Amino acid sequence: MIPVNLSVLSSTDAEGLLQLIQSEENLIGTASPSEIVEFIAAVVIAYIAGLFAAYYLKRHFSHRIKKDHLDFWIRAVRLLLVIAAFAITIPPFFDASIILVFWILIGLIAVLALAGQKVIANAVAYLALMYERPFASGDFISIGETSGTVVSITLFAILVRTVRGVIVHIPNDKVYMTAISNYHSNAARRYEYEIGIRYRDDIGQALRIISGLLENYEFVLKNPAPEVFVSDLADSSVKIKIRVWFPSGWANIEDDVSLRTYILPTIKSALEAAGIRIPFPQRELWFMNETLKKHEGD
Amino acid sequence: MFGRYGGDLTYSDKNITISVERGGTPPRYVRACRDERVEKILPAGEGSVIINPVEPVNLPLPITRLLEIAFPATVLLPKSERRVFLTFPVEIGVFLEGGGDLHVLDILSCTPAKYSLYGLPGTGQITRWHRSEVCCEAPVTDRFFHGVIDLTLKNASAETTEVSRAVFDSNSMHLFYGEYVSMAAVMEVYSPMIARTSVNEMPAVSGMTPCIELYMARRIPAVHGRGHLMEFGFA
Repeated sequence: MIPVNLSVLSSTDAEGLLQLIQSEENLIGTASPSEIVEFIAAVVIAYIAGLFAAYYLKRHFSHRIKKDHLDFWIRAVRLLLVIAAFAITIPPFFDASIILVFWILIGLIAVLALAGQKVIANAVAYLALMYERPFASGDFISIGETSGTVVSITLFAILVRTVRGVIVHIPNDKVYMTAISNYHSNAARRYEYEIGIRYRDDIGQALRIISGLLENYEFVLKNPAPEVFVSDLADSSVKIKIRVWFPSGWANIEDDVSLRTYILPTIKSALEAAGIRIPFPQRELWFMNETLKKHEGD
Repeated sequence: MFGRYGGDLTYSDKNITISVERGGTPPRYVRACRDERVEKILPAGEGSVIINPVEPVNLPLPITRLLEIAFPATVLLPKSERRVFLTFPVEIGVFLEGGGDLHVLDILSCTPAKYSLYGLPGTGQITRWHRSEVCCEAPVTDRFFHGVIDLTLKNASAETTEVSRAVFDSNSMHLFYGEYVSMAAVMEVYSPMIARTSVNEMPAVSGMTPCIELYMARRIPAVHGRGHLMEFGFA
């Protein structure tokens, strides 16, 4: 350890402290006060230049490339600028005292220890998410009980905007350990609907009407073709199942309102126009005394 | 209606109504097409309005950049070549040129859209889908509804193959207009599942006017001339 002269410390200003540090086994290398100032100025300038670069990139590329890609490039440029500032101004510090390095390391370890395992776990989970890419910014996902559009992916958490407009921060380690449903990763998604018609209605006519409506709806994909078929002869109605595929890029919410608001009302109106009704649940009740009378009559 | 207009413009038929009033207070662009009306206030002063066909993949929503043309199966012998004419839907772009910039003012179309999936849901791609007949010469079309693709089908494989669809990338489309809207394209079959389509930079018929493409107007970097690799078959 370096013996520190406390009497000198207490009576010196910042410049005196600097001279003291330099005099003791070359604590900060061969860096002169002006080089230290240059180092600090370079880092500050690199930081400000990074802000300008981010502004420029956002202004010129935000409408051309995906948000998460743009965020990545902005971070990369800002990091490169800071690294460049370090690389240019740090050489005089290379022969700094091992004691200074030791104390810096001790400080870093202390900070990490204080921050706790959770932070480290989130950062590691971030790296894993970046490697596996289960989703990207703009995707509609479900994680646990939270469903929404991914706004951004940061070092410690992802930000999800729910359909109610609420931003939810989900820690990365929780994201990584939870089942994720991504509604956007595939080009197309399938939806199912079921409607019932009366037993006396013409099933073939109903199927033709529904198929024709689906054919005319631009977002119902031509291929894979929609499927319309009788799925069940139920208690009160003949059940018709409709399976349709939609572009995920358009149907980008879990329970898409626009699909239902177009398809279901349109089908109902078209069927009713053709005299086909969607029945209410029906149940026939036979009372015992009526049954007895019927038998006595026989 | 296609062309460049420095002053006022009024066009109307049973499907489209377009009006540009540069001298109005304020200057105004109004159009109506298929129950949809768009109205925009234009900047005063110099500038031109350019109207021409654009890549037909933008409406009703720009969710794909691929155009898929389905047509009756056409048989190609090994190492053979065949020229066919297909139709494609037309979308009309309205641009405002001025101040050294080209702005997309409006896109409209008279043809109803339909989307499809080329390939599997997990790995495939959404396409704007269109059904066409196969013609041996350029069919007569209404240029506000349908254009004509002069398509050269080449079978570079050693097997007889059937082709019934072609997928084109809008980022490498080159459209032209004259009496009709056209593009000239090549589809080269490499194997029973792989083919490449590309659109020529030259018109099918000389004397046609080149269109301003959207990826040029929007300054979207595009790889020209490489076309689109169809990896999920073409039958």
